[in-house]
Amino acid sequence: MYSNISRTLLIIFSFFLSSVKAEDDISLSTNTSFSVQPQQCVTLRQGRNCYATLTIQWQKSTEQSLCLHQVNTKQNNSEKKLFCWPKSNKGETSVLFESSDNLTYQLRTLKDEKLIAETEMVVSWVHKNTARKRRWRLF
Amino acid sequence: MLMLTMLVKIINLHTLKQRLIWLLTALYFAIATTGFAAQEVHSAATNYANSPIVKNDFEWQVMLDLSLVSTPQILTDVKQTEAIDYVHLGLLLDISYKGFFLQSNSRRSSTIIGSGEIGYQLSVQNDWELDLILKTYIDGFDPKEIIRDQKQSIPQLEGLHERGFTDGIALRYSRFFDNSIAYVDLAAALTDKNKQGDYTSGIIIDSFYSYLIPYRNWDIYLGAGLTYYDKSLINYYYGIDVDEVTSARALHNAKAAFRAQLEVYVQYPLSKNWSFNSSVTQTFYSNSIKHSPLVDENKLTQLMIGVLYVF
Repeated sequence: MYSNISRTLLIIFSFFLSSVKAEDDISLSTNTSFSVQPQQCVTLRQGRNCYATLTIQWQKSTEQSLCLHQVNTKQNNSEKKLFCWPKSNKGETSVLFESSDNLTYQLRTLKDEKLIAETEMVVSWVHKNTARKRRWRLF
Repeated sequence: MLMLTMLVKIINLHTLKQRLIWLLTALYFAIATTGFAAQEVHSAATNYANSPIVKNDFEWQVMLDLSLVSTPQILTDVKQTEAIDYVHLGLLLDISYKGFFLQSNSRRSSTIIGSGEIGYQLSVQNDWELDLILKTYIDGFDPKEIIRDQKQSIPQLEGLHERGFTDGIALRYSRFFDNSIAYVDLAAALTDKNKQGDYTSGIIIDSFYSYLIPYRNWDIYLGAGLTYYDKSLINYYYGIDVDEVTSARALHNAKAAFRAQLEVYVQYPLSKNWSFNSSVTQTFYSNSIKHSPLVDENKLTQLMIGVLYVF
């Protein structure tokens, strides 16, 4: 009886873990996995640049030439092409993240920039940047 | 609580009157001369949403501080003896509304000892601020309690009268630069009652400069402070009265003293609620304190390492 309960809990827990993992690997195309780690950058104060070294990985069942794009939706969708992989079914790169805004990372085809997968890097903070706190940060 | 204690002391004390008179005179001129400027800035603030001039907003922050602290004591033979002496758990509360504020300086390791401030913003400008402050400037000590905690006899403290806290009412002038702040407190301070039931008053001039170096996700604060303590205050703590003289304690009249501090404080975010913090503070007291029979060291190094939880 006890082992049955344990097994049920384990299954539920595994399901929870797998659902969390599924959230990490956001992809539009079902045959593509795309992950950015870590997915959150924490800065001490709201509005300040957050720094992190991101590991970005992707894998596909078929070979394709893909590029990694960085998009800032808060700044008129300003974007930067960071890296391209010619004819490959997997790729990995490190990116230095430096931003006070959330940034979206997109995997697009090299040829026609068709969106294959995307995920967001979230910036959060310990201290809210209220007007008075702008002074308190020094105090 | 601090305010009530201060009020009781002020009501009962006549010797502080003169010092308060000139402090209040200075205060009057400060308000009179800055009042118009403050109004001008306030109207400007309505035009510019990003103006840093804020008096009316209700803002608060509660933090829980858990740290390990090595705090050498100035008093002879007093040491941290048990593991629990190194552990510090504190609640830091910051509230401000309509110019009034209660704040704890979480960027300074002296906060570990406990240093809340009650204040009122008299004038808030872009690059400077004038506040009225109520705070405890000097922690007291109870020789009986110290000896009990130390579990050993300390002849220099044996039979000595308790020294209470010194609270002060101060005018604080703060100057803001791009990445630094400098402030000076001009305080009329009052000790707790002595054994005869009298209070001792004196002036404290407390200044501090803090420079912030942001490095990636780290905040590195370099600080330097200089504090002047009136003779009467130093004598209350480190002087030896006639009825306190023993073979281990000669009669001693202490002179005015200075305290200089150099500090490095670092903070790093661990998550949305937790941050890591650490500091090292080097404190130097002038020889007028070291000459007291109660003191054997006037150079102290304080170390702190801990975490802050922000609610």
